[in-house]
Amino acid sequence: MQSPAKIFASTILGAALWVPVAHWGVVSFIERAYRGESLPILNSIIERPVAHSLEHYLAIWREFELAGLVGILLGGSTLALLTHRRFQVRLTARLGVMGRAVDVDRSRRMLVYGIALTLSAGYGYDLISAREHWPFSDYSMYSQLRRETLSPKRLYLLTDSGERPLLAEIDFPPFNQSRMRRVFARLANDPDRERLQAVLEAALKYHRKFGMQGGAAARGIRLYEFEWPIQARARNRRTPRSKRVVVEAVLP
Amino acid sequence: MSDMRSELRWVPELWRAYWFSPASPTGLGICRILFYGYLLLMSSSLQSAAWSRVPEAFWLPTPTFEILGLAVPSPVRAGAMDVAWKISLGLACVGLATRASAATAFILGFYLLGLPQNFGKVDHWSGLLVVVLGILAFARAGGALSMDSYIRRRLRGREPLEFSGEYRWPIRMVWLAMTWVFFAAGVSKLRHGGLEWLSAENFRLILLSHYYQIDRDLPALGLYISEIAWLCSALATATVLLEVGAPMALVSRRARLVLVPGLLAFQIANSLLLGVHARLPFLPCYAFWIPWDRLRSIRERSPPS
Repeated sequence: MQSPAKIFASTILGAALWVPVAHWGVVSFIERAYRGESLPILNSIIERPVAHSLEHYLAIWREFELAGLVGILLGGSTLALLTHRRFQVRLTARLGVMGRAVDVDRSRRMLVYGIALTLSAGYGYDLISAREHWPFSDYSMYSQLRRETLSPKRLYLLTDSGERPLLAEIDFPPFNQSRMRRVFARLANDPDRERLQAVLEAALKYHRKFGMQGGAAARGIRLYEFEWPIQARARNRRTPRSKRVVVEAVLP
Repeated sequence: MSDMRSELRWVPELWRAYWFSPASPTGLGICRILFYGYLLLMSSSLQSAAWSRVPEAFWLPTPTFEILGLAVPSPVRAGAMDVAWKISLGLACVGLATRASAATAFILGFYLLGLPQNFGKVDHWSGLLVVVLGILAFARAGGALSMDSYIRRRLRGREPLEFSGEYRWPIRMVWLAMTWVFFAAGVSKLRHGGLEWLSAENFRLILLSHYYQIDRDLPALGLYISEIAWLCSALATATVLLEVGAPMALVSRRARLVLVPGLLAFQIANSLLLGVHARLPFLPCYAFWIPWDRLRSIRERSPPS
């Protein structure tokens, strides 16, 4: 008889063993493999010449370490719960589905389990790896802590009568403002300035051809970086603290 | 070991019953109509042909499109696919050739909703819709409230379809996908922001930062809320609790009663206060949480007025 208490105790023991092994044992293996001082098979896990710092590899391992700990605790606790008689009674009562005849054949059932597994693997992998493989995602929007100061990048169109902000939905369809903002925030961090310049020129040509409002009037485009300290009630939203040109493109 | 196996014998039975205990085809039929109908309305603003004109410099393919070798179509092809997708959505909505139209809606939807994601930003609303399209493509969703069932009964003289597990699992699968989405969002907040994410200050900054954007006209309510520290903290905590607790809705009816309306309210608030996903693209997915069978049996039991 495997009592839930015994299973739970084994889980705690497993977790207690996992922590020192993963935290110190494996870390020391990684450090030695990074220096090329471990067994050849372990040394070969880290590509040569070494592309990243030791911290990079340790950070990857820490993710696995945490996932392993969560896996042991979650798996063991689930097993302990499932063998608990009272939990069994309560769960079956709550779901209210037991005892009804199942009329779906085995091949269809396998298909359905396959779909459930694919979905869980897709979402689970993206969540653990903090990456995005559309249509799955780790849904990390708004997850970073907000800073007191905003520094958005914005595009402005240059015309003979001055400059005006580019409104993506009108000036650069089918983009919307948030897509445009994300693209140029990404490009602005690119050290390759020529690439950024080329993208800006392409954007201007596109706007002149397909912009829905006076596209032909634009003779240049400018990428600005603004700075706003967030104030109560966003009182300063019309008056940034600073405005700096990142790059601009002007066409004849 | 054999003791353990015998103690766990009830688990596979419960698992099977969870997915396949018989349900009426009507519930899934209502969900089908609402889901495809809403998507058809949303698709009116789809402009796939316009993506064909965007300069190549903006093409930053997602891993999915890269692996599948998918590229930007010509404007003519994109336009034709738009039309074909709308037709398939319409057919799936009314339930005519339901399985074929649902499969077409999934394949074209995967491509057409996925296409914009390759231009610098992944819209988080689109993924779940494609997943639900995929689930319905494998389901037998045309069993009731459909042209197919009408033709089957009236023209071919067949009996209406009875309760079956085939009408249970697609609903449960949509639940699974939705709870993954919310659970991932909640865990990401705790992972990247830690417990500080729940602070009044962080939530205040999230609310206010949207007022500095130039593409939305937001109501003043968010500004008022940002000044009440306890409310900011309570809303942040409620958000994370709802999201992290979402998987509970899979197994508990009581949890479902709190979590599902809570998550819907949270998304409506996001749309109103922050201007995020203003067209509420997840709205049709909530139809799958409504216990249509139970509502119908309550209606049938109530005395006529």
